[in-house]
This record gives sequence, structure tokens and C-alpha cells, in this order.
Amino acid sequence: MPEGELKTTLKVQRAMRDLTQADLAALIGVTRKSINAIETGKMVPSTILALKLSKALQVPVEGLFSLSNPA
Amino acid sequence: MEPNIPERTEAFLGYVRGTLYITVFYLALFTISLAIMALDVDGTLAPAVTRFMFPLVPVLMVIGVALNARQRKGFRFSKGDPAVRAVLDDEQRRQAFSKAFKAAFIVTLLSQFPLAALFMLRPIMRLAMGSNPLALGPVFMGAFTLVIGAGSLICFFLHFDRE
Repeated sequence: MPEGELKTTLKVQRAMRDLTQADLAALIGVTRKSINAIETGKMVPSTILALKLSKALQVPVEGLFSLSNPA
Repeated sequence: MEPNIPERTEAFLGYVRGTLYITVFYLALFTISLAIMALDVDGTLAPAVTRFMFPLVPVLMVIGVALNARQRKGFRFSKGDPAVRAVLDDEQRRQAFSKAFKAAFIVTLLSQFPLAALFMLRPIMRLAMGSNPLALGPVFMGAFTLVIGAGSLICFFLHFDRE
């Protein structure tokens, strides 16, 4: 894995709350495609979106996102 | 969470993408008509294009809009609708648009070389055919630049926005 790549536990956290991608997307006001893109690592979310996800799932941002090999 | 928002969001997303596909189709039709008019050096094909192609466009437009309306699945959308806001403010779509804009800019810039070469040749071709070498080159070049820019922007956006 390249240094500093973003890892996410979004899929796990979402599954723990029994939420579909569409449900979570509706909670934070984005499309299901955005949630899918974040979960598959195709998109790095903005700070605002990361904070919205954190609030919706009630998990700290660090619990949702981390760097693979932090410097 | 309001009921139906995920379903409404998907319907609106499908409707927006459908509208973009239809726009690309019309741009392609327009580009073909423009190319025929621009490159028809002896002026035989251009009147036929004007006679048949242009009256056909409104009919095709109505058919396209009617077919695309089915994508809405009976939902009505307003500006303040959470589903509409979710699609318009969507971060993934914004990133896709940003990438598409850069790619379309490069394509439009690069297309200037072949277009310039083509429209420099046009008056020479008309002279060789014995007809009036009208200086419409810059007009056609401008029109082509617009359709190439708009067409490539929408195509790249649809590509980057796919799942």
C-alpha cells in the first residue's frame, strides 16, 4: 500500500448500524455514489463530508479514517 | 430521515444523467450538420441538411424529453427538495466535474490545430472548385470549438461520474 493512503472503516461502521449506502447518503445529503466511492477508496472526502459522516455515525473522524503509513 | 429520499435521489440522478445523454446526442447531430455545411465546398449537400436535419431536431427533442421523463418515476422535483440538493451538492459529482473540466479544456485546446488546418484549406478548396471563397472559416472554427468544448465536457463528466 502506498505511503499515506487513506483507509476507512466506513463500510464496517455503516454495517454495524444496519444502514444501506442509500440510507447513509440520505442522512448526510449526498448521493449513494459518493458513499460508494469513499468506501472503495476511489474518493477522498472533504473535511466537511468527513465531519458529517462522523456526526451521522457517531464515531470520531479518526475512527472512520486513518492513513495507511502515517509519516 | 424523510421516507423515499434515497429513491427520489436515485430517480433525480437518473433523470440528470439522461438529460446529459440527450444533450450529447443533440450536440453530435449539430456537429454532423455543421461539418457537412463547413466541408461542402461545392454547396450541394448543405441545402439538403438545412431542409431535412433542422426541422427534425425539434421532433427528436420532444421524443428525447418524453423518454427521459420516465426516469423521474412519477416524482416531481423542486429546487429545495432534499433529493435535488443531495445531487447538486454531491461531492463525488463535483470532483467528477472538476476532472472533466480539465480534460475538456485540454481536448478543446488540442482540437484548435486540426481545426485551423482544416479551415485554412477550405477557401483554397472552394477556389479550386471555382466557387466563391467566402471567409467563413473563423465562424465555423468558433462554432466547432463550442460544440467540441461542450460535448467533451459532458462526455468526460458522464465518464468520471459513472459507478
